[in-house]
Amino acid sequence: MILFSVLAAVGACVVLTLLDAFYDSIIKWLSKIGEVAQRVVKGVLIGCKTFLSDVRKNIGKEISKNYSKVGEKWQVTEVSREIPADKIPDEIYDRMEMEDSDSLELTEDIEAQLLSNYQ
Amino acid sequence: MPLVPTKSSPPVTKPKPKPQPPQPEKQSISFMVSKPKYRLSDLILSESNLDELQTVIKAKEYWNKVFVDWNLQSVMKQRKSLFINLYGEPGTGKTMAAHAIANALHKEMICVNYADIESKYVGETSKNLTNLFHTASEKDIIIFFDEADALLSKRVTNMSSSTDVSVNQTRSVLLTLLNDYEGMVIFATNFISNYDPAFMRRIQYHIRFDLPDKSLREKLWRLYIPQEMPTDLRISEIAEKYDGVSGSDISNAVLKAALKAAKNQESFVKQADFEDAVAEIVKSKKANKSGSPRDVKITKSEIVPESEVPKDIVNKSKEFQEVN
Repeated sequence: MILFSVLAAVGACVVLTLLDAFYDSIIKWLSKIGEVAQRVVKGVLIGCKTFLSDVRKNIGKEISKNYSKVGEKWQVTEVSREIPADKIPDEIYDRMEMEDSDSLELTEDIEAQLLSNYQ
Repeated sequence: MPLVPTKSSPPVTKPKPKPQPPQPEKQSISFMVSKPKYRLSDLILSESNLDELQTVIKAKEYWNKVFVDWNLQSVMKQRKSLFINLYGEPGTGKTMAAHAIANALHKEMICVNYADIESKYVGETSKNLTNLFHTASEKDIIIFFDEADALLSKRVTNMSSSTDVSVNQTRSVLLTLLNDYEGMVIFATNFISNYDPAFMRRIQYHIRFDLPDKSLREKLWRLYIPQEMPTDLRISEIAEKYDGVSGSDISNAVLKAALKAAKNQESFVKQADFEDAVAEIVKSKKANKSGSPRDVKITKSEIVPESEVPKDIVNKSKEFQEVN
């Protein structure tokens, strides 16, 4: 019984580490996008949403939608990149399966990761 | 007879032309025709790369065989042009390969960089391109576009400024010029993913250049260290230890190590001098890779109605406005 609990705890740690690494890689990527987006978008960058979609056999697509305001108009600047399937944690796959969706929004997860990184 | 003054209309005074600010003189661009600087034998490349280069060089020779004898012309239009794209990491020999192709075909080349043809005048870049193709066609010269992604990158779908219009105009002119061109054009890029699909379709050969493996690195170390240079370098060891370096990195490392040894008045260039130099290069490449935003590709940028913007972002914008 004790062994079981220890294994479960170790398992949780491993999952957390994989997830952390996954989110951290996205955060790193988003900061790069931010640098570029600031130069490309014509207005003020207001916010960003991040999605994982088109997860197929070997590859997934991470899309970030950067919303900016140009005068009274909204502009959306989309940046995408491919992520090898083996870098996507199982938990993400499970969530996509549970939600039965081709696209999973990761914005809140990334916000939470950012908060935990700074606490 | 008295002179009666004739009734005449008051003299017309021409309005003085308004002073115009001095216009900088537009300079018509001239293209430098040069002889290829490298031969195939100068290249240290993988067998597959060399084989692909040979195929490209021989392509014209086999044109008749495949199009006429094997009747490929019955199913596709026989093209006279040959467009080749050399892509891959920096320093992997793309530029040298372009020269080697021209050398093998006994042709001269015009090496073009985007900065050479880009003009601040609207429409002038397109004219420069037209002149370039005209000159090359007249003299049967190979055109070589280095850093071609600057010119072949994706067209802007949502044009919102005169710069966007001008960029699209240049791309369209280049597409038309390529359609009509009957000569050879070589493109080289580190960023093939930036190419517009319309250009990708028109290019017959895409040759990928990878960083050298261990055996090629050994050859490159041997190539760049002259026999006269006194050294205790164990080439096999350094080639094994430092991967992810290109031919040009190795050449730089040799130079740096040699200069350091000379400065320190060493009697020979030590293994440590080479290792320090190549380690520094590897470190700077890593830093550049993780920090550089050049690999960020914008896939879409457009104006959308507010209804398509997530509510929390709209609210955040309103908060900003209230604060300001």
